[in-house]
Amino acid sequence: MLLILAVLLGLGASLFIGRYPAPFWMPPSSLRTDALAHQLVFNLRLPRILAAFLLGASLAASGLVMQMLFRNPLVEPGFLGVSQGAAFGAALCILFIGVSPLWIQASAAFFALLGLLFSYTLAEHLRYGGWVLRMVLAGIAVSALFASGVGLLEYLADPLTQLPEITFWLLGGLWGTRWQNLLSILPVVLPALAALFLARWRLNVLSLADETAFSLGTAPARERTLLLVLSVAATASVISIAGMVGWVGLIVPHVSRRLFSANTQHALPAAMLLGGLFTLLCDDLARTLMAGEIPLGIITSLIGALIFAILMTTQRLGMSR
Amino acid sequence: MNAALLSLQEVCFRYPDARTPALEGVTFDVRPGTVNAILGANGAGKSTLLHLMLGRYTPQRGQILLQDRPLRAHSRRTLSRTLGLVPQREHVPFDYRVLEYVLLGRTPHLGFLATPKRADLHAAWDALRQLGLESLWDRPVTTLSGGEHQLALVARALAQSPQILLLDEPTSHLDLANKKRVLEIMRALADRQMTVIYTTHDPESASAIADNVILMREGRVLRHGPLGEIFNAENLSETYGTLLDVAQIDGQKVILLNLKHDAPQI
Repeated sequence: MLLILAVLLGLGASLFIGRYPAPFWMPPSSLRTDALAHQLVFNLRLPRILAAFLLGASLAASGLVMQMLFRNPLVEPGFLGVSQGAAFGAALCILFIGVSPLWIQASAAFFALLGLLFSYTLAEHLRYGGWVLRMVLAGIAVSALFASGVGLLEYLADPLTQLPEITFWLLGGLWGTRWQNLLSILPVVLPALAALFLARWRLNVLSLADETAFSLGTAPARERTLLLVLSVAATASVISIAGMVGWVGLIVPHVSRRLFSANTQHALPAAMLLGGLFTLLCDDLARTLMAGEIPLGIITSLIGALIFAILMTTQRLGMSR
Repeated sequence: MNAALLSLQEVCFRYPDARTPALEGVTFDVRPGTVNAILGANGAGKSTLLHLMLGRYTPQRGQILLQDRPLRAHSRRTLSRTLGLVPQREHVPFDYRVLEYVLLGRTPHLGFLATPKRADLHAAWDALRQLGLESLWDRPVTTLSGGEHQLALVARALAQSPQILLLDEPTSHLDLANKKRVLEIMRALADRQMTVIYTTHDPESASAIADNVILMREGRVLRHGPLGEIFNAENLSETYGTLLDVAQIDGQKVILLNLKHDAPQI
């Protein structure tokens, strides 16, 4: 409850945080007096704020879901080749098609899903280990493959025009987000998040060993795959507009489990709200602190890694080895 | 005499990549309210057999009947409400509290996307109380001792309110006091009409509480029947492939390692 209130407050306040007309804060009254302010708030800030919230919520939810499905608290949503796939897609587009945001978004989403498909196919053919281990191994291999592809593209890119674009995309950020970008991912992200939310109790059962999950009436492999596809779809969509925003999907699920409960029934909604709020605040910092834009991924990584270090040194991680 | 609740008929099973079958021609009946021990050395096919009874694997030949209908004819939901599993050892990656952990056993009684209701919470509490775990309810599962964790696993299976409880090596990594406690609980459950089936490689765990014993070796059932008729030196020696003696002390059968006859010459 408190969290929902905090989120609403954060969403509202963020509308007035920025560098126009003066750094950091715009009095609400200028919405009526200043036509430019009005324009800016509703056409630039609002979609960006919503996108930031959605980005954080999706990454955190997918991170939590994947940690449950893979029974491993150190998994994050971009693994399984999704993040590196998206990066490769974006770099490829910047290099050969151009820097049109919608094209980059489409190419990133396409290669993110391709990454998942590769990982899945590879996992099917591995003749070693159980479902979880095979997926993890395949994910590592496919990620490395795409990462080397990204490296190659960076090497080929024109250092004056294309390389900065690629680098900026890899660092992640929402500076280019307009209504059309946001609307283009909503049809995927919202249903995926809703479905994950509905399955929040089921996820607990699927985090147990196969034999137990089976004896409790689930079809472990099939249900896990379905939930996995949903969370990857959400991740791929938000990555496609925001680039690589790190650490949200890893750290927020931990914080949420710590603050609320290991029980996904509570931890999942909490992770969505916390992730959204965290990313929103980071994005506020990204666009306010300096005259130029700081890539969002840098801020989330900085703060996320700090929180992670603090958690690791002060308390048990909510996991056992 | 009661009719069989679970009936295995000439069950054969081979793992997809294996050259030799894991189980061959396994036949026996399980009557309701009895304690049944599947006894054998490591690798005799005991756990495989348990998973077949659970419906997780399907036999290539022969059939398993639950209440006179093949397992496959029952829905997954019916099976999960009828058969509860206590796995051998469960690695829990997340810090569920004991009550939440036991509550997971209610899943077969919930709709696909439903969350537990008040009635489910009551059922979980009842299961905790039956096993004397109430005081541990908000402890993280990962901090439980081996014996407490085993009891929590039993509690979760009880919350499932099954007719048949399948336990995979329930006593194998417990110290004596906890082993005794778990065995007593299994016996008490059967006395309240629960049907108990468990695997063990420890003859003592079988002789202490079992009504019936199924002796297995290399994927085959050597003998099966009431404890009093089956549990003797000859059968056990054959099961384990080494000379063993059985003595009777205060009405309980005790196994002795016979070291006199087959000691290796060094």
